[in-house]
Amino acid sequence: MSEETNKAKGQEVTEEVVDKKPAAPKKETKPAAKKPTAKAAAKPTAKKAEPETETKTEKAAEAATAKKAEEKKVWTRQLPVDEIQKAAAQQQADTAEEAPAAKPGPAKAKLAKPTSEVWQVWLRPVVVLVVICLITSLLLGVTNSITLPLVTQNAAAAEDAARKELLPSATNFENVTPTPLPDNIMSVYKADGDAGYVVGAYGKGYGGKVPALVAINAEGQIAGVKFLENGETPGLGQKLITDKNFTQQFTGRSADKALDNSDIDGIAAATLSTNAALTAINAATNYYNINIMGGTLAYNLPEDALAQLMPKAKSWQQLEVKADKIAGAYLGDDGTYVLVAQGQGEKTLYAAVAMDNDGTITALWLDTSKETPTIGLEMSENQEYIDQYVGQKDTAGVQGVAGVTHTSDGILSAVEAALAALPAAKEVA
Amino acid sequence: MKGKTTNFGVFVNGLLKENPVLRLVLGTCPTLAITTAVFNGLGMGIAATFVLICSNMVISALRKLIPAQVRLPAFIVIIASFVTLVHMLIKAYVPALNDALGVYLPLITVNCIILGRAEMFASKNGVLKSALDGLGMGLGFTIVLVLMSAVRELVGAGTLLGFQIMPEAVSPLTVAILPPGGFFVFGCFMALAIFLETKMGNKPNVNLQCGACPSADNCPAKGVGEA
Repeated sequence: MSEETNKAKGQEVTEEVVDKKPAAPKKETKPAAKKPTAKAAAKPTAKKAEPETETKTEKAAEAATAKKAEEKKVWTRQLPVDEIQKAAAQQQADTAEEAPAAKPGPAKAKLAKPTSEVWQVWLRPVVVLVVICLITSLLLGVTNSITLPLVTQNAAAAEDAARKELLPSATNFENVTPTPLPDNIMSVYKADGDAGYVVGAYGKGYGGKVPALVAINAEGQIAGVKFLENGETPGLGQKLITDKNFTQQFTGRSADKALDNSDIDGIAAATLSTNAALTAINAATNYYNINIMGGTLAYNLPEDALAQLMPKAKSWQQLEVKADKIAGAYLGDDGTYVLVAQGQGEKTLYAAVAMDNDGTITALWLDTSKETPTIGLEMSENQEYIDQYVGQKDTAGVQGVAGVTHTSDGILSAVEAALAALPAAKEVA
Repeated sequence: MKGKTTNFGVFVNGLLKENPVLRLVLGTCPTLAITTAVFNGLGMGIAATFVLICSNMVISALRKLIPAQVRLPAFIVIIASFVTLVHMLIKAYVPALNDALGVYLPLITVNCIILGRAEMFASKNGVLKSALDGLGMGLGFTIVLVLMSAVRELVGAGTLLGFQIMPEAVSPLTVAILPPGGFFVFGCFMALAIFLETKMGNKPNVNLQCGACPSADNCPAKGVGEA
């Protein structure tokens, strides 16, 4: 942009405000042409508006402006930008001279000083900043409205390409994403020709959500995992995307079992990202097992555990319950329901909750075999802890075990899931 | 300001003498965060250079219009919207580039090199000089990022641009790509920059007062609070 244009623009901003003053006649139509320099421009303007008092007004105004400019210099001495300051002084001179012209009469010329000060010190910065913000907002808004459809289209195309890459045998995908979305699930696509499903899921990493596409083939195996754009640390957590060795270790694994840290080689120095990846993949396989495959047992409850949970029952039947975190359900011939729910402690744990028809817990059996030895591992034998649940209809009064917070929380959430799934179990039965 | 510097002088300034990272110590945060791999350093450097040139030009063109009192918010608004604009356009029309730079582009808004040059140079100089200053500073930034990330990637991961360089048997020193390693390499490079400058005959000012700063000539606060 050339300097003349700048000046012209600056002038326009000034005049907008000057024009708003009630008595101001519309003076400027071609600012660029009319104002080769600021001072020379102001003179003819004043002449037109106020020929008889021109000299006087102008002199007074000029004197005032000069003084003001001096003061202004002193006032802004600490401010660094010489040029801006000069420009500001110039602008001030303009305004000071235009103001009396706009409100004619020698008496009103006195107003020049306070008006220009208010304008220069208070109003002009505000006006300029507001104008800049308005222009940039407008630009951003327009650009966004132009690019948004393209961006969405690109993202959809990229996701589609990723799905095809994961399940090459499929040619088309049908969107079967449920509403409302279950925890940690973003999208569910069914491949044509029964090739399998691609579930989009996420976990919380170091830098926000870590989204992943998990493809599960017709045999119920993980056909491939692709991590999508995320906010993990470049060089560490970003290896989820770049490190093929990491993503490949999921391929071929059976989807019927939740994975934990001991099943895979994590990324060094990116524990949180690795955990987020596991959470995402487990959420996807869990969704597949429960909502797509119909919640068949993801966990095989030992017979003696069942006998222990339903001491009065002589036989039991297996129920197919589709509910969040539920890994299995049984109904004894004495009317006792046993729901097996998955929880997340240090590792994946399971709680089998026996309930009577009212939802009162009659017994609780825990599988905490993957938890830390001497800390979480022994929770399944902590009778004092387990007894807190028995006879309750909710988990409100349950105290966690000190030092075993993660495991306690995991058990609590599993029991809550089992309690929540009882109505679903009754429906099936 | 010093006497008139030539256009070429303005451009060369950013490479070593007033290198934004090593001599002005601006943009330290992205430098430490991004230099874990050469590709990241290169991407960040190029993106920042582009934005730096453009924002310098826009701010230089508008410098007479912006009142001194609100220049910082005005600069920030201009820089931030510029970055956002570029990000949106890249996302829409060059998705491949977005995949490579996506993480770094928004970070440029808060890169203080951009604001620093807007304040110290672009707001006082013409459009052409400001563009050259942006180019020189951007290149200086990019060179440092690439060199630092080369050292860190080689030592910390045993690779360069993702290709295995060190024999597999040598286990990489992961600390180099972690923050402490970043500071260590950063310090070594700063010392190297001062060493090079001494070799070239410009004795860097080593007194620790304000005047030692390479931007002292442009600095409004120079000498404030000094005896």
